[in-house]
Amino acid sequence: MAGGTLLAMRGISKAFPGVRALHSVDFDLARGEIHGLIGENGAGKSTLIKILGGAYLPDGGSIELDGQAARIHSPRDALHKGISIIYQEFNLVPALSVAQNIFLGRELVSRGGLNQRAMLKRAQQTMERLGLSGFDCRRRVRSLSVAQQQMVEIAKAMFNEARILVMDEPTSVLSQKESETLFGLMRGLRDQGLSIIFISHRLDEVIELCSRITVLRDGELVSTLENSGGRLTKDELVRQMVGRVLQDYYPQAAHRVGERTLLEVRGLSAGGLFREVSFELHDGEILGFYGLVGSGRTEIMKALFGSLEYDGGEILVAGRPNRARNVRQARDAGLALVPEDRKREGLVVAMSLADNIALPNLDKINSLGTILFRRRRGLVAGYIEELSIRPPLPNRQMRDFSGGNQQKAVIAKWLAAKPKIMIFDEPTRGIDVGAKAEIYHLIERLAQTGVGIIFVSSELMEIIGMCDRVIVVHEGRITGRFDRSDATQERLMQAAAGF
Amino acid sequence: MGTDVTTGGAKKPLAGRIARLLFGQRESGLFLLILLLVVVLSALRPTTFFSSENLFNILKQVSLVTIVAVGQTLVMVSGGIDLSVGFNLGLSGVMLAFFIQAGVNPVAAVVIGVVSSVLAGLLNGVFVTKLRLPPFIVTLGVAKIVRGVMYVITRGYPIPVYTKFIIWFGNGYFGPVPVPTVFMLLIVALGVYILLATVFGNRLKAIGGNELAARLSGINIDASKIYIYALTGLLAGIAGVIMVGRVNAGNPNSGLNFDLDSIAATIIGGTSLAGGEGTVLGTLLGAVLLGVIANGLVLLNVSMYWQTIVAGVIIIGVCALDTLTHARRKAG
Repeated sequence: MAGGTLLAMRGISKAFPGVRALHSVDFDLARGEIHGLIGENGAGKSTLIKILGGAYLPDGGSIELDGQAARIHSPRDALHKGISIIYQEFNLVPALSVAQNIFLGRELVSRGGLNQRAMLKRAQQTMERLGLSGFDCRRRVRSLSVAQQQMVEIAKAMFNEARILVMDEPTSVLSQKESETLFGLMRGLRDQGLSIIFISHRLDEVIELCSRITVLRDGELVSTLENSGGRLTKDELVRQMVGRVLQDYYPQAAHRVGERTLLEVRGLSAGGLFREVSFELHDGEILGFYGLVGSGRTEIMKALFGSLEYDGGEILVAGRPNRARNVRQARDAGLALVPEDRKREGLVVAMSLADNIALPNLDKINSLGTILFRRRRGLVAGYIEELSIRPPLPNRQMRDFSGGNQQKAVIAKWLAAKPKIMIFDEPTRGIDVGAKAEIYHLIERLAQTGVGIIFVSSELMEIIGMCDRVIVVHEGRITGRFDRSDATQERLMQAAAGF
Repeated sequence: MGTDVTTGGAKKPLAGRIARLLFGQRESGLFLLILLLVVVLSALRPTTFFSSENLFNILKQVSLVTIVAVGQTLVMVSGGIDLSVGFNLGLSGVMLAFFIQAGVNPVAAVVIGVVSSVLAGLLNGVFVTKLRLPPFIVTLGVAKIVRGVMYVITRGYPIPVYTKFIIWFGNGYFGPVPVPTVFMLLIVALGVYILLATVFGNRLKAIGGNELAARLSGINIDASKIYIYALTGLLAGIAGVIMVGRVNAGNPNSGLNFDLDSIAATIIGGTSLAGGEGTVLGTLLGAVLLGVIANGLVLLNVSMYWQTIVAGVIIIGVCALDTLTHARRKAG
């Protein structure tokens, strides 16, 4: 059972160009405890974990393992010291079997060949230790469910004789039942003396599982809270994470929902992704789409934006049928989409801020194919100012901006296209609290000018804080519609779980 | 409005800023390297190397590969690669010679030659976009097809060309400046302009930098890609006409090595293999660097075979230097 400090991180600091990711953060981990690590996106959780895992070197501070000063200089070194990290994206080779994955890099050899039989046997034993006796370790990882792959990751960590196991958002891809299985397993491992760092946005889970909870905000340590017997409340944790009362955080809703129907969707379906989706969007309205990752909400938005083919139903923009076959047509019909993954889908990071803002608007700022740089400067400068993008350097490469400013750049490029309907897919993911509040206020201002807004998010708080109406999606179907007045956390979560 | 502020801070020491200006950019580094070589070779061979005749000769030597490499650069900036440029060059020359021999008007024959290379480029573009195959595979296949077509037409023998007007392309002069060099400079200027100032160039960079983001910005990816391969074919075709003028024949083997040489010049010039980044000026300098070295080694009586070895060392050396300085910048 719990006893003694295993890991002590003291005064850890880390800066990236333009961002101070961590500032003098202390973190303790006891033997045999499950320790929660929470904070908003961009609070510094992943930076701290990457330092622990040897992926980053800290700029300042010290790390002690077992009371001994330790320097973790590479991921390999971390593994060697008994630190295993399970990231949201698994480090498994899909084409290899479970046993081969567990033994990757340390294959057992006999007489010049691989000793498959011995590896299989020991892999099987490891799985049994995790309470998965019936598991066939010859199966290829590709054929496993996400939950099973997670088990393989844990088995790999156990096999590495991990003393510290870090789980980064392990439940975000799991069903309720799978999560409970995982929790049982985690408790079992804890009782065997393993120390676990548990990172999750789901505060209920954190309160249920963890004996202590460390809260980070904007790269600084807020507090480490005792949670014996789950005595902490969610409200308390949220207050610590956000650092202010939520009322100031979200803008006063001063926009007015108009009479005009900007967008009407009837019975939209696409293969196994979503089915029979129908809704309306009015001018000046903020319509929330809530659902878990993988529920199909992102795919619905892509279909609206012409970047995903659908096979049934229709989309009416301003009363007229619109079957945008590609993004260009959707853009010309007055739609804009700020995508979920800004680096992958939103920006060309090797190009400048000005280039990125201009990209969807090149048609408006050229003469016979030559870019009119004066007009481009005017366009870009206006949006840099309106969104207060920092630093305000249009020629700076996009990759050198912080996450929040990158997100503002994606918003800027679509604002410049003057859309009538603007879709925000997870607009605040991975950005700091200040930038979040700015984006909320910007969305409110847009609604006041009559733009119809679809706000997609998996963060309940911001959905409730921002939206006039909320539509909940579960497994590709709409399972709930709520007005602002009856959109409570419990109702939204139940609808999102499919009840 | 402060819209044109560069990232370099005003407070940094002057020496550091000058150093960054000289070595931070690939172009300025290459320029210095070329300058250094010219100084050294001039000292070693004052009469033979440092004469206007020889210097123009170098520019003439590198003209063809540079013209082809401008197209290669634009393709590589868009994230593609074109392995068929050499044979497209050959095709243009072979078609030109074939039709002149058949009695067609030379101007019409030039057009036919260039158009045939453009068509081969279009074929590349259509296959890349519509069959969704990697450019490496498509252009390799088209290169083989084009090569075969040339052998079918010529049966493997060069077709001689005596037309004065065609020979002028390869061996004429404007004052002291060789005609191929004039074509090269015009095409380099065109390439610089496309990449820096046009919507098309901007789209190429966006596609090479992040194709998905470019598509989600409303860019017609397929059209841009087809245009770029057609443009590369066009430039290879023009180079093919000049080549016929230089060797007085349409030779099916005249484009050999242009594929790899144009890629070498482009890469030395700083264009990223992964796409999204690159400059036409860098490519010109890359080609000139290789040209100066080849010329210098000849004048120093070094065997031709050594030139190839040196070229290989240069490719790896310049790129390694760049990777090392970049790695340091990231760490620092």
